[in-house]
Amino acid sequence: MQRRIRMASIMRRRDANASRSDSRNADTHTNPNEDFDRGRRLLFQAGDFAFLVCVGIASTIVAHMVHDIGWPFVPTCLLAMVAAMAVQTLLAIMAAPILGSIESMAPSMIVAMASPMVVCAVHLAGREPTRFIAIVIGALVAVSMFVFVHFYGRSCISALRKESVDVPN
Amino acid sequence: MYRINIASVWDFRARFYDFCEASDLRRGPSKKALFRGMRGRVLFVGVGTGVDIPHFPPGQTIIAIDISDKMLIKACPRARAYPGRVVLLRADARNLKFPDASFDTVVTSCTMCSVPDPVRAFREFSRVLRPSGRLLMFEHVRSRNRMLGLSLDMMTLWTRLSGTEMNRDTLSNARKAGFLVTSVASVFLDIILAIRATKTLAAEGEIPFHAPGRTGTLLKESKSDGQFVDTRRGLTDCARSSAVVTLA
Repeated sequence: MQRRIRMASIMRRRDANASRSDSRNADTHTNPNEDFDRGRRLLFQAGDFAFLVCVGIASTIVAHMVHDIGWPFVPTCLLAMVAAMAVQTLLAIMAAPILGSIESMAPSMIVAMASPMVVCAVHLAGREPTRFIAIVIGALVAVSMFVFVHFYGRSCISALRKESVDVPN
Repeated sequence: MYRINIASVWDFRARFYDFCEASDLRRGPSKKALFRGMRGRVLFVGVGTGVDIPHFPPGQTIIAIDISDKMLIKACPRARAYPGRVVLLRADARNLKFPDASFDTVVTSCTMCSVPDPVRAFREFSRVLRPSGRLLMFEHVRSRNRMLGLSLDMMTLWTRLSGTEMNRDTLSNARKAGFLVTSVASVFLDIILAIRATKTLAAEGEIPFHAPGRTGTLLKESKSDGQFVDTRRGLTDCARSSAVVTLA
């Protein structure tokens, strides 16, 4: 029994070391020893940033254009949200082969939900934002999402290590 | 009946699966790092079109299963190119036809989001694993962040139609089936994870410990078509280049 516990403990330690190695390979962690990995990670971060900004701007412009139709507020907001999500889905599918399907879809979906909401809220407040303002709103939401993803990713690395079960030594 | 539907869904998805899963550029290094943990007799569950095969460590003997014939046929060229031995078999993860304790390592890659009854599948993995055998999983799960979790829930509304659920709690499912999660590494946030687990000590019972890497003789190679080998043309052609496996 003691031998089994000892072996399990050794395996856990070995897995934890391998896990740390995985984390170094992950996009959300820096590895100062490997320039190639760092360069690769930076390229993906740049890609994520550009993609989120594209989604933010495109979905906000679409929502803004829907408001120009002049329908009552509630159906306009619903249509704006649906149109923005459709645009986001198309962009995410196009980006998936390079950036990854989930990696592109999950954060951009929030951007495509939040930025039209902001446009709708501005309209609800009685303001008529120009197209430039709509673009700025979309870009700001996207940048906020990018920053959130970056810091959340860092917190995930340490939080997930706690998921490992301690085997008694 | 349900199994037939699942298989046909994946047969259909085989046509464009490579495009959707062509994110190797990003996930490749993490997969490679995880798959380095393959030891001894390896069962790869849900091989799909074989997008993961290039990341396998060379020189292994890997039994790779999938529920879809068309996926397996597409995986043939990659299986042939692998510098080792990959044997492709059609099988259901929930009902593996392998004897107890016949593998040292079970590996999944984006599979447990698509198996209809994941806990049952995990129990099957536990059954076919040797005592202290290891489970390696490259899986996507529901984020614990409310905002990201909501987006994954929304994605599931339509991905469920094609057999995939984006919001599963695969770690809990593995634990429910009696696995001990030994490490979890982030690949993308807390959504895509590289997970390592072993059969729990309790599940081992009084069976003596077998070091990973030691294989028994429960599986043997044969030139003839075996019980679990699909004899249709595509798979038979593929099997010629590697090995046809029957149960001893």
